[in-house]
Amino acid sequence: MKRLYECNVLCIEKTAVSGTDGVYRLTAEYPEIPKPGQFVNLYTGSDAMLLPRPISVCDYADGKLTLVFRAGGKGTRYIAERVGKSGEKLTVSSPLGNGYPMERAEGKRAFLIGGGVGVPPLLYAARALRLMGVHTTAVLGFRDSEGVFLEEEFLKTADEVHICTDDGSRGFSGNAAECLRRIKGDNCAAFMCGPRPLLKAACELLADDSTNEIWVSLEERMGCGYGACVGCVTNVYEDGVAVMRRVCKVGPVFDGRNIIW
Amino acid sequence: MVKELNLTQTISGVTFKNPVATASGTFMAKESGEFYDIGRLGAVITKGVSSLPWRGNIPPRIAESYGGMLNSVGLQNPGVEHYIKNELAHLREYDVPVITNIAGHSIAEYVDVAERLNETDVAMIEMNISCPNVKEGGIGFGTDAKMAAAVTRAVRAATKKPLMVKLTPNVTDITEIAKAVEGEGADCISLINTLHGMRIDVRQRKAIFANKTGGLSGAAIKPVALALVYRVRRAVKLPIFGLGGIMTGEDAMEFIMAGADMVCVGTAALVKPTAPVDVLDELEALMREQGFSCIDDIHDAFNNSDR
Repeated sequence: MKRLYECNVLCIEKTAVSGTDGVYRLTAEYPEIPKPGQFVNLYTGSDAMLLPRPISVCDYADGKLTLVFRAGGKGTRYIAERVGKSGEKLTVSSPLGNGYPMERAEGKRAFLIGGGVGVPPLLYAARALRLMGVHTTAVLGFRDSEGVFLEEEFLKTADEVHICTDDGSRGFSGNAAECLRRIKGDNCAAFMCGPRPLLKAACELLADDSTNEIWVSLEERMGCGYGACVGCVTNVYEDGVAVMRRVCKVGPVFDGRNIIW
Repeated sequence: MVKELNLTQTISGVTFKNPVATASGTFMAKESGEFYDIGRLGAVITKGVSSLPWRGNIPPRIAESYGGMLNSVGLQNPGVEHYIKNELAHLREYDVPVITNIAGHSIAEYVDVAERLNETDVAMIEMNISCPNVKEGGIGFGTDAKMAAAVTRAVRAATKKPLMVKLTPNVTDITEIAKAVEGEGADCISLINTLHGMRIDVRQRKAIFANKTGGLSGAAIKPVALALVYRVRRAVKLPIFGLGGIMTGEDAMEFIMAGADMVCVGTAALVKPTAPVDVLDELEALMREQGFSCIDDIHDAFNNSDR
């Protein structure tokens, strides 16, 4: 059975800045074990903003869930401010969505490709890959040096980490796909999350080689987040036919070769 | 003395163990069943199904509004055959009557899907007449009394199953439409469907939905829905399924007092997946608190104090 949980928030802090928005890192006690690539629904608690906010799982260990999210819209800004006081509870759903098929990385080298707030879910994937003994390279793109977050955590969990900034103020100058172009090989398992143009470019770099696995986390404006309202569909190929599939239920992770960009 | 509560409602020959149902478009057997026991409900009304699969609208299909939401889903559904083999088959695991919501872009399409459902064990058919009649230039079936009558007449002739017609509030006088469908043999009426609404993205400088407007639902529309149930109750004799922003047991009781015989929970379930059974539990508790032992008690109490 899936549920909504009233979770104790252990801490919340601003960890970076993305444009004019704060990027927050939140840790809460959480009783279920999510899979990499899954997300949770957060509830604002305000009658004005009823819809849940879907946020990817960044990390999970010892009964503690970590989320890293940009407070970009009304709901996430409200949540960041409200739970900013310690001891506040946050309503969080059971893990939702299909998650990354981590087993596809067996016998391959893994590449984690992320941009901006697409980076957080890749950390939990990196943790799983470490347990599998798979060599993992993280290619993480941000706008500028002020926008960089989770670098230390990736350095501890992945084997290689490339920080990329659009303006060149830190690390590789350019986005994560441009960096990937220089370092990619064959027989990779790529797990991606981030802005759509980045995902498209990274898929195109890897798709021609049939030894590469490409798994992409997509997003669409959601309603319920658990598959009942058919609001969050995206266009993908299934057996060669273009169909509309629910990102919250059939996704958010799709085979990169089936995505209709 | 503890009174025994009897929540049973019998409408058009169908017995519902309690008056709470899911609203069409907010419920999927497998997905909702992961959060609560569907068998506890009085009925489930399933997502609109058409004769052939419909792709629905280009995303984004969802936008938030104060105390509610807007949708422009466009009735994406895999068609009646897939529905029968999958959704309906899955629902048989539960002891709950199934009301199948049907949609069409022409009278012939509504008749097609109704005829197909005749061969199934669904308890009732709910006709969503908020669809545009593309053969008549896109006028909504439900916004024109003559068209509402015509499609009801055609589907009435095509099926012996109890037939419910779901009314749209986007009309000048909903009682006119209600009387029109009553006159053509509808067995009951559900109201309301969503209200026209819109959101504009000021940074992108365009409407959020590709279709420009969408449907508003949730707590925000409750006062409108309630007033319309109240008016329709006093205009027709048919049983009424009331819906529109029901989030709590108290909301449900308001609709029953206004004249509803059954209530449907929709948007509340998108926001809190267990909402339908929560509303049921809260309604039951409120009935005990208020000394009501059955739904008719609630109707009588309101009518006797209504001046």
